[in-house]
Amino acid sequence: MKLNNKFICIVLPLIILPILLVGFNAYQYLYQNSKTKALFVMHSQLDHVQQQLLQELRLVQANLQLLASDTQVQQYALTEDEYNRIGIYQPAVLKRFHKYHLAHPNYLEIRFVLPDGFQESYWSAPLHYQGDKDEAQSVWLKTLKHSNLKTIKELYLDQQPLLKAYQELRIKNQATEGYHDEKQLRGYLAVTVQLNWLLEAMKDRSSEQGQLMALMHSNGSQAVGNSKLEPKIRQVLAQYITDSSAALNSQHASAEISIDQESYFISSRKVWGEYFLVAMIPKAQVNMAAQKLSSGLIFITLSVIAITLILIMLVLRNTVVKPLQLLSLASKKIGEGQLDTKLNLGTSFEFKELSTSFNLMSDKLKKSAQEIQFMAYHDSLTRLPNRRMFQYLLSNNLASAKRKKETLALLFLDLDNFKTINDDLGHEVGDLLLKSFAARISTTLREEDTIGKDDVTQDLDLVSRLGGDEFTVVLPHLHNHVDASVVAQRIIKAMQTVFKIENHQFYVSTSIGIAMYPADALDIEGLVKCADIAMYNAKNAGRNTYKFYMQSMNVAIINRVKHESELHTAIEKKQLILHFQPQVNIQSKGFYGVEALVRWMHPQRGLIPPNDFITLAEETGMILELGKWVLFESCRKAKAWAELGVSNFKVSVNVSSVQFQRQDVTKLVAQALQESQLAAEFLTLEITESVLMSAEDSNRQTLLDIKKMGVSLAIDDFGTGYSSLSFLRQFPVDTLKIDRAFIVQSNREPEVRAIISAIITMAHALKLTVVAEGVESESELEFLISSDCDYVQGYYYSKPLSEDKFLEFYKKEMVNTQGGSNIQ
Amino acid sequence: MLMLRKACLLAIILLPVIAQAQPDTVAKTLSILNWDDYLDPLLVAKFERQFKVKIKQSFYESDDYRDELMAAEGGRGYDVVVVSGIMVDSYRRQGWLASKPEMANSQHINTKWEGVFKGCKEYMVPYFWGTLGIAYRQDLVSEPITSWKQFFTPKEELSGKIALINSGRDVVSMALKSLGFSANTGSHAELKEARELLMAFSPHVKTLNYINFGENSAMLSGEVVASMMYSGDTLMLQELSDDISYVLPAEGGNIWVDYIGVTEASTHKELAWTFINFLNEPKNAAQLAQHIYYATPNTAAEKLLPEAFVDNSVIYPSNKALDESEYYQVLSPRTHSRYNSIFSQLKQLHPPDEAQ
Repeated sequence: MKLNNKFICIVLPLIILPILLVGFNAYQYLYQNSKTKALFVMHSQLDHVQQQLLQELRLVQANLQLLASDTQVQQYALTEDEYNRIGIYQPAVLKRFHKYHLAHPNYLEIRFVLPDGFQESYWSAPLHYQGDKDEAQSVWLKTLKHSNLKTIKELYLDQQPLLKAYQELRIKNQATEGYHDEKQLRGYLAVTVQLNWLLEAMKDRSSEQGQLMALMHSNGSQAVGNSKLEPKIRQVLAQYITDSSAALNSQHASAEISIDQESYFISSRKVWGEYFLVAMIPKAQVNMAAQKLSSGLIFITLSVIAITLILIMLVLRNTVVKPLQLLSLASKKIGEGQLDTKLNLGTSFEFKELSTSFNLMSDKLKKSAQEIQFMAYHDSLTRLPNRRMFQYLLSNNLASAKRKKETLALLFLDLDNFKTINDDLGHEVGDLLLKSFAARISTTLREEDTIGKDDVTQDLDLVSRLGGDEFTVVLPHLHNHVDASVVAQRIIKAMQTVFKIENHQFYVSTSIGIAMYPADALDIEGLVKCADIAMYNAKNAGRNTYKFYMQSMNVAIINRVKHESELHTAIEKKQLILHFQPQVNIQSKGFYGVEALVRWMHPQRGLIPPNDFITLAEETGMILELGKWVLFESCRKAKAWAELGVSNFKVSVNVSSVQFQRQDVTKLVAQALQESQLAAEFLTLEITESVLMSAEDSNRQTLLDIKKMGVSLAIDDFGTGYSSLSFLRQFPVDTLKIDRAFIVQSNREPEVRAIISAIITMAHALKLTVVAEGVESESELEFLISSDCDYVQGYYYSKPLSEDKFLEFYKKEMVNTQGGSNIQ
Repeated sequence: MLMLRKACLLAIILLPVIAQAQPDTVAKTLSILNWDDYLDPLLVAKFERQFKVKIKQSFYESDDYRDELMAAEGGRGYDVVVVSGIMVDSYRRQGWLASKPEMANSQHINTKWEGVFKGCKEYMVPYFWGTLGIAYRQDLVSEPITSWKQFFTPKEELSGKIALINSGRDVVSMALKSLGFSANTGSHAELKEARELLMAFSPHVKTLNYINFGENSAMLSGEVVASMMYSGDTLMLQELSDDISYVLPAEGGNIWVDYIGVTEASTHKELAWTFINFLNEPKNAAQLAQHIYYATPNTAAEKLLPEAFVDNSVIYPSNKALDESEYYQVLSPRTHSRYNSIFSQLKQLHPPDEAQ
C-alpha cells in the first residue's frame, strides 16, 4: 500500500468520525430546534390571533358603549313618537353609525334593534345589506332579556367570519323621568364585525410549515381555518379542545395527536365561551425541516471530507510523499552512479536535515568513488596518470589530433642514474625523488605558456608515469618539431636545479625520447615504440639530452648493441690502448705535454677511433669503466715514463661528463694518483663544457677538490658548448683548449679568427693558458702565433702516437730543445 | 329678469341705509331658520328699518339638516322657521311650533294650501310652493331629458356629472317615481327595487350636495350636467345662463309646499308673527316671489305679479305636468326607516361635504 493511501486510511476516519458525530448531534439538535421553533411559532401565532380577537372584541364593546352614550343616539332612543324618531332623529343616527364605519371599516352593520326585536335603524355597508330583520326569536335577544348580561357576542364562522356584538341600551329620559325611575330598556345596539383579518392572521407564516389553524366552537359545529377543515379533522380538533380545556393548564400546552396514522403537534387557546383557537403542525413537516437541514448538513459533511481529503493529499504529497519520492529518486540515481546528485527536500526541518545528510553522504560517496577511480587510473606515488590512463589519454589526444589534423608529440623520459640512487640510498629516497621529479616535470609543463595550453587536456594529464623511473609527456596541438624540442629542453634545464630529498642533494638528469604524430607513427603502439627508441638513443648520446626518433636509429641501435658487448670485452681483454698526442709551446716550439687518447684495437676491425665507441660507452654507462681505465693507465704510464726519465710534462686525460654525473671523480683521481704514485702536478684533467654547465654546484666542488690535489684542469673542445669565458671564472680551470673546428675554419673565415683571437685574449686576461687543437698547417700555426696562443696540438707537429713512437718523439724533442720542458 | 336687476340695484342703493339702521336696533333680534336665498334682502332690510329689529338668518340646505339643527337644540334658538309641509306635524308633536294667532294678511292666503299637510292650518302660514324636477344643460346633452328614468339610468354623457339633493326622502322617492312607483310607497319590494336602482346609479353621481346657483355653480361650469333641483332655483340659474333647462319629468315629480311659522321656544313670538304678516303684505309677497322665483300662495300678491312670471311653466307648471306629481305623505315609521336606510347606503358611497 502506498504511503498516500495508508495515510488516508488512518487520517480519514479521524476526520470523518468526528464530523459524523457532530453531524448526528447537529441533526438531533436541529430536529429539536426546528420542533421547538415550530412549536414556538405555533404558540406565538395562537397567542397572537387570540390577542387580536380579544382586542377586537374589547374594541367592539367599547364602541358599542360609546354609541350607547352618544347624544344623538340617546335623543333618538328616547323619542317615543315613532314618526318623529324616524322622521327627525333617525337620519342623524344613521350618519353617526356611518361615522363609526368610517373609523372601523370592518364594521359591516350597525343597528338599533327595538326591545321587541324589530330592527329599526339599520346601517350597513352597501355590499352587506341584509334588509329588514325581526330578531324577536334571536338567541342573543332572548339571552340578553333573560339574563343579567348587558352585552353579548357571537361568532359566525364560515368563509366570512363575523363577530356580532349586542349591547342593551338602557337609558332614562331626564326630562320626563325622575331620579328614582329605573332606566328603561330602549333597545339594543348591534354591530357586525367582519373578521377578515382573522383568515390572514391564521394563514400568516403557517403555510411554510404546513400548520393548520382554526377558530372553532368546541362542539365542532362552527369552524373556520386557514385550510379546508374536513369533518374528520374538525372532529379530532373538537375532541382535543374538549380534552384539553378540561385540563387546568391548557395554555401553552401542546400535545401529539394522530390522524390517519400521521402525527401532529397540536395546541389550543380559549378565546371566549366555547370558542377556541386551535393549531396543528404535521410532525413530518417538522421532521422535514430538520431533514432539509440535515441533508444540507450531509452535503456539507461530504464537502468537508472531500476538501479535507484533497488538502491532506496535497499537503502529504508536498511535505512527505514528494520529498520521499525525491529521496528515492536521488538514491536510485546515486545507485546508478550519478554521484553528484543533490537533494533539496524543502524547508521542513526534518527533511532539510535529511537533505543535508543525504548531500553529505552523496559528497563522501562521490569523493571516495573518485578516489577509487583515481587510483585505478593514477599512480599512487606521484598521483600522475598510470600506464592505463596514459593509454586512454593518448588515444584521446590521438583521436583529437587525427580529427583536427594536428601534430602531437610523445615524450619518453627516464631518470638517468635513478637505479644508482635507489640502490645507494634506498627506496624511500628513490620514491621521494620520483615524486619530486614528477612534480618538477608537471611544474615545467604548467609554466609552459605556448604549449599544452588546452582546455580539454589538463596539464597534469599530459604527464604520466609508466612505472619505475619512466615517465611520458604528451604534447598535443603542436605546430612542428621545434615545439617539442623546446619543451624537452625546458625539462632538461629544469633538472639542473638540485633535488633536496631529506638530507640529500642530487643532480638528476633525464634522457628524453621524442616521437611525433603523424611523422613517426600513427597509432599508440607505434608512437610508444618510437619514443622508447628515441629515449634509448638519447641515453646513448650521453644522457641529459633529448633525441627525436629517426628511422636510422633502428639500425644504429642494432649496431650499438653489438658494439656494446664488444666494448665490454675490449675492456676486459685489454684491447684498449692509449695513444698520446704531443702538445707544443707555440713560442719555443718545445714540447709541452701530451694528451692521452684511448684506442680500441679491435681483433677483426683493427684500430677503432674513439669517436666510434666513446659515445656508445657514454650511452651505455661503460664510459665509467673506460674512463677509469684511461685515467689509471695514463697515470701509470706517466709514472713509468718518469722513472725512465721521461718526465716533467703534463699528461692530459679526458674525463667524461657522464663520469662526473655518476662517479666520484675526486675519489677516482686520488686513487689513480695514489696507485701510480704520480705527482699530481703532472696530471691534467680535460673536461667538456657540459660538465661545467650541467652541474654548477656539485661539479664545481668536485673540480675544486681536484684542483686542491694539485691536478690541473682544462676545458676541452671549448667553443662548442654554450659556456662563456666569464662563466669559466667560477671554476678552477687552468687551460682552455680551443675546439679543432675553430682552427680548421680559421684559415678561411676572418670572423672565426677574430673569435679565436678574442678567446685567447680573454683567456689570458683570466690567466688561463690556451691550447689550440687540430692545428694542421703552417698558416694556422702562424695565425695562432700572431694571436699569442700558448700551445698547439695537432698533426702539424704530430698525430697521436703509440707509446713507443711517443717516447722516440720525446727523445728527439729533447735533443732539439735542450731541457726544453716548460712547466708552468 | 328686469325686475331682479332692479331689485339688485335697489339693494345696492339701500345697503348704506341698512347699515345706518343697525345701531338703532338695540334689543330685538329676530332669528330665522330658512333655506338659503329664500328671502329678499330688501324686504328684510325694509322690515328691520320699519320695526327697528335685527334679523339674523340661519340657512339649511336640506330637510335632514334642518331637522338636525332643530333636534340639536330641542327646537330652541330660532324665532322663525321655514319648514316643508310634510314635517309640520312632526315639529308640532315635538312641541317646537307656536300656534298661529290671527293675522291681518291671512286673508290673502289661498286656503287650499292649509289642508294639504296636517297641522299647517293651526300652526303655520304657507310660504311658497314648487316642484322637484330636473335641471340640466340642454347644450351638453344629445337629447332633452324628460324623465327620471333618463336621470337615474344615465347615458354615458351624463355619467359622473349628476348632482342630487342631500335628502333621503327626495332621492328615494324620485327613484321610486322613476320606477313608476308612488313617491310615498310602503312596499318592501318597490323599495328594494329603488335601493338596487340607486346602488347601480351611485357610480354616475358626482355629488350628493345640492349645487349652488350662483355664478360659480357647477352647472354653469359644466361639471354637473344634470341635477335634481327645486323649480325656482333653476330660474335663478337661468338668469346666468340660457343653456339651463328645467323639466318636471314625465313620471311626475314632487309638489312641495313650504310653510313659515314661529317656534314655541321663541321669545319674540309677536314680532315673529309681525314679520310673517309683513311678508304676506301682497306687495311684499309679490316682491319676494319675484325675487326667489317661486309661486306664492298669496292670492293678492299673485295678482300683482307680471304676466311673464305667472305664465312661467317652471313656476306654475301645467296641470297636466302636475297630474303625475305627488305631495309627500307621512310614512309609517318603519317604512320611513327603510327610506333612511337606503339613503344612508347611498351616502356612504358619496359622502356629502361636511359643511353643515
